[in-house]
Amino acid sequence: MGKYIVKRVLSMIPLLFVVSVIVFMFIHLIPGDPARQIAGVDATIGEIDNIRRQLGLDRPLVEQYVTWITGIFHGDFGISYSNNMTVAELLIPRFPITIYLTICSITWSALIGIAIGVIASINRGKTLDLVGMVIAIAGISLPNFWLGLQLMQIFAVDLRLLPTGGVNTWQGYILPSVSMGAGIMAILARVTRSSMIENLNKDYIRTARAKGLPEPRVIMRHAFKNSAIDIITVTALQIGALIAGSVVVESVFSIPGMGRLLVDSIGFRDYEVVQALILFFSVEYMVINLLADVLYGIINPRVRYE
Amino acid sequence: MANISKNVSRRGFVAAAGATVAGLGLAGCAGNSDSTTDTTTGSADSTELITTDKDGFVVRAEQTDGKAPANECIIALEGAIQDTNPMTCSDGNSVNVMYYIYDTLVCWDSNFELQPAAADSWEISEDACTYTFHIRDGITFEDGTPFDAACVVTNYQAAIDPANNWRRRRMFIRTLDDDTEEVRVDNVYAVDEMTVAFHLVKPYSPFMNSVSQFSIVNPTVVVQGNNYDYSKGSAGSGPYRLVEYAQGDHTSLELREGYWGEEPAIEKITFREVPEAGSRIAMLQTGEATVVYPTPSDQVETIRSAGDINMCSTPSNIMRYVTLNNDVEALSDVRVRQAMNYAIDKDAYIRVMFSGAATEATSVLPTIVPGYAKQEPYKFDLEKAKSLMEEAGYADGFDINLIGDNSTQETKGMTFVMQQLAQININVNVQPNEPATNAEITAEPEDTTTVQMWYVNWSQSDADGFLRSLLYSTSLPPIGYNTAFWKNADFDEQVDAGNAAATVDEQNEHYAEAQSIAWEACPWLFLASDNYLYSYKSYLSDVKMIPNGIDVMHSTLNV
Amino acid sequence: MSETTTSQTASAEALPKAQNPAKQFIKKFTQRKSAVAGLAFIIFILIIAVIGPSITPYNPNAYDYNALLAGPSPQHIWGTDEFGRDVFSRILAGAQLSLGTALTASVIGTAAGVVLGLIAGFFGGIVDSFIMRVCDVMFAFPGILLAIAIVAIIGPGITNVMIGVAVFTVPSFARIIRGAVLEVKSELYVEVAQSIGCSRLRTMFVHVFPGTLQALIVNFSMNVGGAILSASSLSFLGFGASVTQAEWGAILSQGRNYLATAPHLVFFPGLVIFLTVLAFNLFGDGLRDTLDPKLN
Repeated sequence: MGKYIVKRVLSMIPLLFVVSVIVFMFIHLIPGDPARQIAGVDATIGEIDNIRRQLGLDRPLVEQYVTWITGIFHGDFGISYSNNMTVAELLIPRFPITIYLTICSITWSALIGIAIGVIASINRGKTLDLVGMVIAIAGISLPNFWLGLQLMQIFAVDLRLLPTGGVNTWQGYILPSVSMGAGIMAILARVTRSSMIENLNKDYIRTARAKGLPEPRVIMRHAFKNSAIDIITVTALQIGALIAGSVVVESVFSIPGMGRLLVDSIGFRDYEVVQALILFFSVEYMVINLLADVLYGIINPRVRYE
Repeated sequence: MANISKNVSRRGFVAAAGATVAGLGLAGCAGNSDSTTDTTTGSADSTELITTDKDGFVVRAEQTDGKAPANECIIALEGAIQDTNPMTCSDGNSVNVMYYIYDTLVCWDSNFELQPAAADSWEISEDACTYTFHIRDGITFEDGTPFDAACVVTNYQAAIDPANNWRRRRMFIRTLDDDTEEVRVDNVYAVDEMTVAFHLVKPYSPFMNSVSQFSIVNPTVVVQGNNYDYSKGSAGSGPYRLVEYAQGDHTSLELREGYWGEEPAIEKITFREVPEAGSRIAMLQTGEATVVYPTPSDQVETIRSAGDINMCSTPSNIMRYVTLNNDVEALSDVRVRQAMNYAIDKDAYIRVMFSGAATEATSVLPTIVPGYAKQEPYKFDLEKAKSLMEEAGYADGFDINLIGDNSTQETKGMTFVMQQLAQININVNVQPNEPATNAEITAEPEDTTTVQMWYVNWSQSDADGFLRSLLYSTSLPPIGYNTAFWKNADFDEQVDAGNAAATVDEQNEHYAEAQSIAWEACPWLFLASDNYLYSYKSYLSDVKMIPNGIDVMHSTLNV
Repeated sequence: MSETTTSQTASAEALPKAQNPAKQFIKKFTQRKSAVAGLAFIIFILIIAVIGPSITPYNPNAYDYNALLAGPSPQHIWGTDEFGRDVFSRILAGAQLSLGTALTASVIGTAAGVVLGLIAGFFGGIVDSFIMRVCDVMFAFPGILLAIAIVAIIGPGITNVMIGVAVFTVPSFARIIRGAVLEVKSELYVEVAQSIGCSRLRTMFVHVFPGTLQALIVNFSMNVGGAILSASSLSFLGFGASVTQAEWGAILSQGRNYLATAPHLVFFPGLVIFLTVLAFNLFGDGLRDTLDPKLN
């Protein structure tokens, strides 16, 4: 397996290169000009051209790309056009916030989602199953701005238990993680239920039951263990999405997260911030998916790495 | 599946200025600058329009004995504070922060009148080319460096230094399109220790406006150019100093010792970035925010029931309009353009878009901009509109594209225009674009432009900033924003004359003439100027809205 | 709905009589009441999608500036929106666009995702790495950037919403199907099929693919709902349907601005979306249970 991991890590390098080219082309070729954004509405063309020259935006795209990528090898991710900070200065304070938020959201939503899924699968076709399903679908269909604002009204405005926003204290993480996790909880509940149902009907479960193993043991040790692959696949996807952030939840709770930064940066055509963010997201997706693949093997040794 | 949680919305957090009127029988009167009273009788389910009393209050708090948790004023703003460098900052929120940290020679008050600041008096020479300012005695920066004439000169030299490449350079020197430079101010010099003079190459009436935005930085810091990091520490002579700048989250200021003027009562001011309108109101209810700007117009009821919040509505210098490209065949006929103006129900626009918190456009300038001259409005009159269309040979209307930004509020405005123009058979194709894309589209020169109609808004605190930038015949894209491609020699002449006028009265006469010419020719659909809406806790006294933003310099907190 | 064991007994009894498979299928399916309810609602909503525009009580685009954001009343049973338009009429008229977009996008995205996932999972090796890394890249590209790029390349409009949503769908399906394939592949019957000399293509489609059907159906039914919501975010960003068109997601997103005064603008479209997504899920579950040979 060690060899497999090394291979996977090495395969990330050409891929990141491809990502860097694509994101660079994307952001540079869509309409919109950062020089114009920086210069402001009252600028003359001469002033815009000056800025363009200063930022090197007048040079051929290939040259700009090489300059950027060389900078990265030297640990220089460039500067933000919108506020003169370096990209690193801009990203570093946001990173821990995003990580905490992701961990909080995924923890509660995985625990509850998987629990709902398991309970529903055992009680398949009964009322509990239907209730679980309705909760899950509600979790997906509820617009998260609505959920966020309702939670804020109840817990912050009416009860005064939690802050309305900001993440200066640990309490500040509660409401945003609940809002962010609702959809994921729902998805995990559905995936768990369906996978569990499938596994509970497998021959080995019948064998286990026939052997007289206690039912909880059958469910958790045998069926659930085999459902884990599906659950891990979906969880990995969701963690990725969480780190890329939810603009809506970040806006509702005034959190300086990655999602808002990305959207604002695209809006401003803040090229180097967008490029750095996408590269960061790519690395993060690759690492999480690698972990997921490794976990597949640990849980089900029959999965072979080729 | 993964996209479910990525409920991305770039402009979802745009000010939710929504209408709250329902079942209103009469067209609501759209407030003058000071006061309006609407009587909404009839329908049972009618909710209120925003109306103000004579002091500009929409809601006056009933409970006024509340206490602030600390001697700190927390101002929750919608947008970002992008920049802490007073020589480069341009966004409204950064300018607001600078107001507390740095002094300018003169400043604007809430009535858009110039007030003495670091300079206690000033003169403008007969030829309108020399501006002389007398600096107050005893102003010092934090490290004790005196604020004198030499210090202003040092700031000027730093500002024009091409190596710094600061935005304030434009106040003195503009780079023209062929890369040559036009010098506006050729000399800034100390007349004596406390008197500084700016010499202009030719008269330029908006110059005082520029001076009001020229923050003076500690000369020992400003000479360091871009080597000094203004986000780590401020270098001003104002009452507050920067304590912490957390980009995307908050900016904290604290009172400093040794301010020359009357010391403000509030010890700490924190600006928080809160993009979601509903969240700003929630923060105000819980006391996590002291002042909220902007306040969404549909939250009046929430604010009223909270009981300890004041809400104010004051006229702004924002003008909302639609440019009509005069090169488009149908729009080249002034009768068509007038007909379109007659077809827009401005009262309905104000109700639908701003819950009544706006003023119908009665000129190309908002009412509070100095030099504004009232014109006769194009009163909503479908019959007249239809007959004008018929006269012009367009009884069956025509198809036309309307572009604008893709925020919900702008899209709503465009949809409204579409609905109104459909009444005279004009089929408007609404096309919302991303703002950066629009900036590109609208910068296309006349022979390649695709812009037919553009739903847009503009704010400036001086008349020239409207008339010249938006309607002057050489301000066509990409140089200016005359996307109406309207060219009128008489108009240009009046704007130039106003610019060169030595006295304010003479200047205003020319500007009035220019406004009248533009109004008659209808290069735009004239819509409205919406109000600033802000609210604050009743334990904070006397919050003002000035062109620099929220002003709590003279407020007190009941701690 | 019956318990697993009883349904097994029932089917065991039915086995000896050779029945028409279609009849058998219908019989089994109709035993699952919630699935039937789901199907009924889907049919109902599809009918609405077809005839909706012609049965609206009001013209969905007719505005009334004197009845802005009015709550539900006998005249406007679901209230009016920010232009005084009848919300009920707009939702009826919008069914076509919303369902059409979501279904088309889901089908295209799922089909592409399934093919990629099957290939990746089955062939493994370089092919697998390549496809999965491409998926990683697609995941890493946030939807908004993709949306702006698509609009920049082919202009705004409803087609782009479909393309955008379909593109979002591909990588997640590819990964899910691949995960399922990895597992199915190690099952005995697949190994047997390979050992008796089935061609790789045949093994893949005849033996492996059915094993992934469960994951596919569940995720597809979930995805239709997700697609409606994704389309709504895109509309909200200004990359969606023309602003004049009624579309559920757009109505819901617009409602956000009036949450304080007009909660009905969020509630009714939200409810309709909720019911539609629920119906697709109930139907999907029922379908899977009926199709699953092990359960019969």
